[in-house]
Formats: sequence, C-alpha cells, structure tokens
Amino acid sequence: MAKKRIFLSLIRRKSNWCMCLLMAILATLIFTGALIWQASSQSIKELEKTYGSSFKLASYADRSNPDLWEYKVFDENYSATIYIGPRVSLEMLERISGEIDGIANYEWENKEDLMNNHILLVQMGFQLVPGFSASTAKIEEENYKQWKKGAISDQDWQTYYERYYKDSKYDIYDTVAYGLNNSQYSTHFRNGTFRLVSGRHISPSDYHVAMVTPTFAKLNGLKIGDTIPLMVSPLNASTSFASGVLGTVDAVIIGMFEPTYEQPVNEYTSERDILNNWILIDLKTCSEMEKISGWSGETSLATIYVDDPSMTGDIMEQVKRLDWLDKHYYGVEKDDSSYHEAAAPIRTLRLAMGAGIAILAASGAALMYLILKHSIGRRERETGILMALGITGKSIKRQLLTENLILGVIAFLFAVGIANAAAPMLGDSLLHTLSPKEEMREYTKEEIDAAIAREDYEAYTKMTSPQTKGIEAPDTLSVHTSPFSILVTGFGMAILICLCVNEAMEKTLRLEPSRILSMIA
Amino acid sequence: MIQTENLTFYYNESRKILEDVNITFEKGNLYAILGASGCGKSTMLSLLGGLLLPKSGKILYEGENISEYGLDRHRQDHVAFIFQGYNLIEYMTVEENVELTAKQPPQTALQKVGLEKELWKQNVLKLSGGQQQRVAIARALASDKPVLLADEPTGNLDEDSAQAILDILRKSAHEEGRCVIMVTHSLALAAGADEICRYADAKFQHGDYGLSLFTKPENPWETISVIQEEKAGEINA
Repeated sequence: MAKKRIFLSLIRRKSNWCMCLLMAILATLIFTGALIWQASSQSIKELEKTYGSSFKLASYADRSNPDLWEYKVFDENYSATIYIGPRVSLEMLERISGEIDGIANYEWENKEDLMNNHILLVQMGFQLVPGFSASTAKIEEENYKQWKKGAISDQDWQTYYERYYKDSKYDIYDTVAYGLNNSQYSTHFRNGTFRLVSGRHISPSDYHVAMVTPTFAKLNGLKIGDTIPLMVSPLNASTSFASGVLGTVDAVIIGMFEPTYEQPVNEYTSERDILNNWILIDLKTCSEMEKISGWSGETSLATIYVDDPSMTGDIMEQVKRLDWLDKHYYGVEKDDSSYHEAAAPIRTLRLAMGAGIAILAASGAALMYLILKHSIGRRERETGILMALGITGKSIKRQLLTENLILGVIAFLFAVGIANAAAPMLGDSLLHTLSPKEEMREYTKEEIDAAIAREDYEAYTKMTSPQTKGIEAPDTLSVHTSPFSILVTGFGMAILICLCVNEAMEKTLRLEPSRILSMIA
Repeated sequence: MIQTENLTFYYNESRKILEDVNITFEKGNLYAILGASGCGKSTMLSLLGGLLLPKSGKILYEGENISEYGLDRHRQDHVAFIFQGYNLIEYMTVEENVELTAKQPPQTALQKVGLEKELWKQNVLKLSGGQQQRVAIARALASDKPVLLADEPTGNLDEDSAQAILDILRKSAHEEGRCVIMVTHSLALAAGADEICRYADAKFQHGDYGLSLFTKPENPWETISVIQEEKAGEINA
C-alpha cells in the first residue's frame, strides 16, 4: 500500500505538479548556467593554449650602439640605416626547442599579423585574384595606348608614365609568402582565420613546401603535389618599385587552406592583401628566400609556444638562463596580452554564470525549502491520520521523500532537455553581447574615394586592408553536456530535496498525531 | 485485554485530566465512555490508542506496557481508530481509504458496513456524513485489529444512521470478538453499550441517578451496569 499511496498522491495532488514545475524551472536555470560556465572554462583553457601559452624572443635594436647599424644603399631610389646586429635565427629556435622541454612550436610571427615573416613575391605568369594592381594596370595600359597614338608626348611619357607602366607589368603578380614552422599551431589557424581544406599542414621537418588556397590553385591549374616556383620580389629589399625577379625557389604544394570568412575585396585592395592570393611556406624556405632578397635570413622576433600554459613562466626562465644566449642582444617577454584580450569577455561570462549559479542555487534551495515545508505542512492532517492509523513516521517520511524525489527526477529530466537546447543559444548570445564583433563589410568606391579626398589615410587603410580576424574571442562557446555535469547537478538536487523534506518533516513527526489532528479539527 | 494502571495525564499540572485511573476493558464487549464535552474522554481514548503518552502510570495491552512495546507498533498492531470527523484521506476513493491499513479485502469491510457498491470507486468527499463514517468504520474493521476506539462515532449523524453505526459496532464486538470502546456524550448511544464508563472531573461524582449502580467511590472511573430501560435518560451526562 505504501507504493500505492505514493502513486495516488503523485497523480491526484495538483500541488505536487506545481512543486515539480518550480523544481524544473530552478533546475533548468541552474543547469543552463552550469553548462555555460563549463563551456566558458573550456573555452578559456583553449584560448590559453592558442594565445596565452607563448612568449616572445626578440633581438634588441640598440640604437646607441653604432656597431649594430649600417647605412645601406639599395638602389638609386632607396637607402636606409639597417640593423645588422644579432637576430633570432632558425638554428637558435631549433636549439632552444631541443634543449628545453615543454616547447610545442615556434614561429616567426607577430601575433597581430604575419608581417614579421613574409616574403614579397612577384609570381610572373600566374593568375591572381585581381585587386588594385589589376585596376591600375588597365589605366597604365590605356596610357600606353594614348602615348602610342601620340596623345601623350614622349617627354611626358618618360617623365610621368613610363616607369609606372613598366612597374604595372609586375605589380599584377604581387603577392606574399608567409613562413610557418608548424602551420597547424600557428596563430591564424588556431584563431580560426584559416582552415585546412585538403592535403596537410606544414610541419617543422618540411623544406621547400607550400600551401595555397583553392582559389589560387584553380586560377593556375594547380593541385597538391605540383611544384610552384616562388619568385622573390626585389621589393623585399627596398621600397622602390623595381621590377624583375631576384631569385626563384621551387616548392611542392602539400596542402590547401582557405580563409573562413568572405573577405570584402574592392578595386583598392592590393593583390597582396587578398587572402586568397597568399602562399604559406615552411620557415626554412622563408629564411632561404630572405637571403635571396638580400637580408639576413633571420628574424627580429619569434614567438615560442609551450605545451602547458602554466609552465610558460618556468620555460621563459630556462630560456633566459641559457648561457649561449647573449642577454645584451636578446630579450624574453611574456606574450599573453592577446590571450587576456580574447579571454576577457569569456572570463566575464564565466564569472557572471558562476555568480548566477551560486545565487540561484542558494535562493532556489531556500525557496524550495520554504515551499516544501509549506507543502508538507499542509499535509499535517494527512500525516496525523496516517500515524493514527498505525503507519509509522518513518514510512510517511519515506513516502514524502520518494514523492518529491520522483518529482525531482521528472523536473531534472525536463531541465536537462531544455538546458541542452537553450544553453548553446544563450551562451553564444551572451558572449556576443559581451564581445561585440566589428562587422566585416565591403566598402564602396565612393567611400574610399571620399577618404582619399579628405586625406583620411587611416580610414583608407582600414577600408582597403584585409579584415582578418586577428585576435578575437571565439564566436561560439561549444556547449556540451557531460555526464559529470548531469551527475553533479542531479545529485545536488537530490540531496537538496532530501534535506528539505527531512527538515520540513522533523517538526511534524515530533508531534503526537492527536495534537496534529486537534490542530486542524 | 487493555487496561490502565494508576494512569495520570494532564496538559497543565494544576488541572489533571486523569488521576490514578485503573480500568480494564475486555474483548467481546462494547464499552461507552460517557462524560461532559471537553472533560477528557477523547484524551482517554488517545492514551489507550497510543496517541498520547501518560504522565505517570501504565497502559497495558495483554499485560504488556504499550510504552515499552512502542506506541507506533501498538497503533499498528492492536488498535484501530474511528474518528468523529471521519478523518479520511481526501484525495483517495472509498476503497483506497479502506485499503490504507487493510489486512483483508476492503470490499469485505465495506459490505459489512452496508455501503453501496456504486460508491466504492467514488472520492470520499462526494459522500454524505453518514456514508463517510461508514467508510471510516470499514477502514477500522478492515485493519483486523483487536481493539476499536471510536470517538463520538455518531456525533454528526441523524438518529437512524447513529443506530446503524451502533449496530455495526456491537456486531464487531459480539460477533468478531473485538474490544470496542466508544466515547460519546449521547445517553441514548451509551445505553446501547454493554458497559458504561462515566467520567467527571477526574473523580467519581455521586449523584442521584435513580438507577442501580455499582460504584467504587475511590476510583474516579466506575463501570456501571446500565439497566437498559427508559430510565437511562435520567443519568446526567
């Protein structure tokens, strides 16, 4: 009869279902918050791995030491004082990663962009996604025709047009190659700007390999396994618009990558700023091509990634203590500003969820206790009758506990279902609110012309530069329900129900049934 | 079967409800406890039924102190209550209420109390007072316990229903060998019992009852053999 009493009470007492609904609402809120909290924690860990687990090794450009500087004339148009002191070489990085445990990767990259490790290419005979140079080439071609027709004088042609016409023949082949040691772990793949489409990533042991975009491959009839000649542009050496190819390095295409977003491209976008024109190469080849262009083949800044973010400080100290590393010329600096920048909104979200869960759990527990106490109090008469009939207090307590646990299970299952559906949307929505992303947009010719007209070169640069994702918090939180979180939340709820029922029943069971009956008579 | 030994009870020490009561109730008899309203008759019933603990003295069932036996167990094994207010479980049907502590099929008990079959599946709140009281009696009968304690079982009923209830209780005592103890303020009902226990102010009060009475002045409770005649109406409650 005890089981029947539980069954009858559950199905006949409407107040039970109100209790169940309240439990379901509370459990849904708490569980949703818990899922978002968990996803935030996981996201922070992943961000830490992407951005927070690295430090910089840079060479000092000590201007007070003249031995480190040399005045160099590149051509009749360009000369500069350049740093000739010690730099960070590939051999140095290889030696560091060999001598110190815990180093996952190193790159010649500045986190904000890839400018530290690029080689300018002039890919003669290759098709590129057309941009600014293609538009300019048409203008120069028209000027050439005008000169041939005699509309432009020979003097004017030589003074104002000829050089640009010659340069335009090369400008349309302008693109860049970026050197990466381990492309899979480089910033732009880890932050989601690029993704691997086919083939494989560049690895540290590779030499003379390249990755291209499917767009570039299609334009030039290339596929994985083909050899592509990488033509070093003299623009690496100077800022003048010299023409020609300084040297060529053949690389085998091992993989294809693509940007994960649709880059707005207009006629002011330089070909080398169009992501689909980029070529990724291994670091050794990058160093080799740097030497071809007249530079040292080394870098002034390298980023070293570690396996375990918590070990970053320790590993940095080990690098500093290397006796072969001259502290006068090299500096080691933690590089976690980008991590903090990217993680900030997620940390805020996690903190908010944590606080929310704590408040909800505490107030929910209090509310549930009060309602359970009230509900059980309303059943004092029933309790008194049952006790008077000979049913023990223990049995009655067990009945109420079982009833409320069953209601709790139903409520919890409901909560798990709703939370699973709501948490991803809510989490992403909150994340977007906390870290609003600047929309990538395509600027019109009129807008760009207007910026040029008012000499707003900052705006012009922004409008015509590639809008890479850079350092950003992730777009989504990847909310997953783990069996552990279900277990913890469910168990917590069960404990809470048991405590509440126990506490609420205590007073009633201490009373003699006749007292209870007389109270409600 | 069930007896008290120097039973004393009070809520307030300055006013004792029961003082040194010694009384015995045997099986197979219908007893009526008669007394003024609020004098403590129901308290006596509660003590016998293990709903209250005596302040001093003992209540023995078949020679065993019920406090030592366990009041829960005593209620579970020995006594069944019939309340004045019926005290049925409101969200259950007639059968379900009877079934609560039943050791026999509820239908048997419901037939004994004469409740119509059509009502058995109905919610108890839909029944009349008399019908609900029958359900309460059926619940007590179905529990198959040797002692029945009925507190004003006919308090809210008309004369015919009251008589019907009395018949059921008497049958339960005489035919089924139960010890049935009934609290009432109704003289007419008390007259239907085998023995009347009269209580007033914790002490026996002499009075001109005009009946042949067997008295024990030192004992506030007395068992009176009632002459089942028209003169039963002359006894002051």
